[in-house]
Amino acid sequence: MTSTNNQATELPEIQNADNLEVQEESVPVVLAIGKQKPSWQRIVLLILASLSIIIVVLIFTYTIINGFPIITEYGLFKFLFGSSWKPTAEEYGILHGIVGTLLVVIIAMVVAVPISVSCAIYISEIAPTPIRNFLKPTVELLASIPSIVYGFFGLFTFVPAVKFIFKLPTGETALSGGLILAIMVIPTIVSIADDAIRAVPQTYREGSLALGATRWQTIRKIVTPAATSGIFAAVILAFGRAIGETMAVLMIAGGAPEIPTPFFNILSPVDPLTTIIARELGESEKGGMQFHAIFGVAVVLFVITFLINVISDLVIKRYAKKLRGA
Amino acid sequence: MSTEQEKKEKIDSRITSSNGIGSTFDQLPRRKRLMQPKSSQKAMFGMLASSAVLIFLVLLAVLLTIIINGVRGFNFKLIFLSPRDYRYSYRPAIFGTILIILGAVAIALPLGLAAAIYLTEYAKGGIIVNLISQGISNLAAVPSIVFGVFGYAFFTLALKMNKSMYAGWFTLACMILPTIIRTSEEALKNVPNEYREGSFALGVTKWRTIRHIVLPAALPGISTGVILSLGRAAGETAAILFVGGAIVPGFISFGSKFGALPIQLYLMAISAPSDTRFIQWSIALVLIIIVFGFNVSAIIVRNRSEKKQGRS
Repeated sequence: MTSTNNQATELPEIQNADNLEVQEESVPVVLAIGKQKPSWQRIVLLILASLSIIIVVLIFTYTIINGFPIITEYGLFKFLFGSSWKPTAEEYGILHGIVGTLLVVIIAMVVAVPISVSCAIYISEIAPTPIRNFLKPTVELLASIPSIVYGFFGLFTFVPAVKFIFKLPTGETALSGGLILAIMVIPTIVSIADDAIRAVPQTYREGSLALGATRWQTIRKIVTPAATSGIFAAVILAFGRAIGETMAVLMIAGGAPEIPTPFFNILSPVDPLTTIIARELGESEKGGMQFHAIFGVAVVLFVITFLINVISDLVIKRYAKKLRGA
Repeated sequence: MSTEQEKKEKIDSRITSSNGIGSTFDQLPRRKRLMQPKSSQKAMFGMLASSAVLIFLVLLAVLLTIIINGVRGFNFKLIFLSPRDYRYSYRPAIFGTILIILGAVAIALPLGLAAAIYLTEYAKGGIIVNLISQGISNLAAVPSIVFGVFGYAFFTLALKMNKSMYAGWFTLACMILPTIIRTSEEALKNVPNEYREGSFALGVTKWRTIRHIVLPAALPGISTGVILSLGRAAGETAAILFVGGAIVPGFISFGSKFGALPIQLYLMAISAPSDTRFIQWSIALVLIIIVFGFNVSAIIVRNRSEKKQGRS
């Protein structure tokens, strides 16, 4: 026993010694070649890389600095929770924008989430391979349709339809905006949720089926619970996309700078945050309070994006850990 | 009473004997079920399939509406004649779209690729690099209207580019830069480390290894990212609406307002007379054909490189 132990401890020492010798010979050679040709390409690379990182930093700082006066000079509370936006009267409350964004996005999610998640389950667990191979790329291709096209489509289909069905003076309502957003986020949810469901290890399914569960029991009790956080991440990311959507809601959600009465009235025009920017930016004067208020809205969108990114990152990491750990 | 029990036993035994399913579960105490597992499976699968069908039909309806109306309004005069000869021609918009996305990629690609190479091959980690990485992925998710605000304030006003194609180039470049960095980084990370080690072992310098070994291997991934960025830039409206996008009678100069298909569609939809409605649909059609073209070619590039890797 002791002899084998000795051998075992000696062996790595010998290997280490071997390694050291080789390294001593080869390392200087590599260094020498590196020094012989000082690569100007590397310098150019470094300049370009730092320039690109400077641009990234600049976008953040420039936006935040320009949005800052709305907090210091106007007041954060008045800005976020003030209910009237009247540049002529120096009033820049964006509560109506927050309400409008939430209203439109919640409608979109209520419509899109159940149907997209069911579709993702169907594509990943049930559909025969040919159908899957056709449906998934098709749905993903539709995610690339520009938002202006969806907005244009909605303007001449949903808007008149909503106007006609509910007998409203105008069809440009939160409902029309929410419905078009729902169509826009469906591909996102389907695609990411499908990836999440497929990431559930095959052994889970096999174990459940081997115990005599039906395929549906396996999907409901085993696969879906295991993929919940992945599906949640898909929904969160879609939520983020819907909040940042501009052109479609600008064209069909109305754009009346008021809070609907009552505030959950989905048949009244709304004014989501992004449309405030799109409508007012061209009219604002550089350095004026309106200008800073618009940057303030941009900062709010920044913050929402970060929160959503952080949450989805956390959820996805936990999900990966859970699947690995089990 | 007894007949009911008999019936139940009969059903249970039928399930057990017919397909073996349920033999384990039958011995366990269980809740009263509304349906037998097999029939509830059938019902649920039907529901899930119908939601997939519904999504497919909705998306098909969107596409068909655009295609049918677009084809009805389409006319070759619209894309080949100048607006002087044919009033609603959008040739300048197509030309502007091509110019603006090429310019934006020409600016963003070298910068983004360099940053990706630096971050994957040279940077050693640490707080600052992590912070930058985090910033880049956040920026990739920021709504495009925010880039519109930044571009308008910074390029148009602060740098006095006014409303010009220059401002449009830089704004769009800022918008696609994070995506290009992200996808290039991904492509570089996917190059197996053995490639680098093999090259180093032969005594090749780091830069030459990157230039001749790593970059060629990562090229399909990088080009996929670039093509997707082109597609995104081609359909972008909000970012360039304030930095010079307009309906123009023709290309004037790089220093003046420029046409772009999405801008043309937006401005015509909100202000042009309604008898041009079908022309507007045809703009939407041309726009999605362009965007789909980019996306399909990205898929082709990706599949080809996967096949190649599979073979070698």
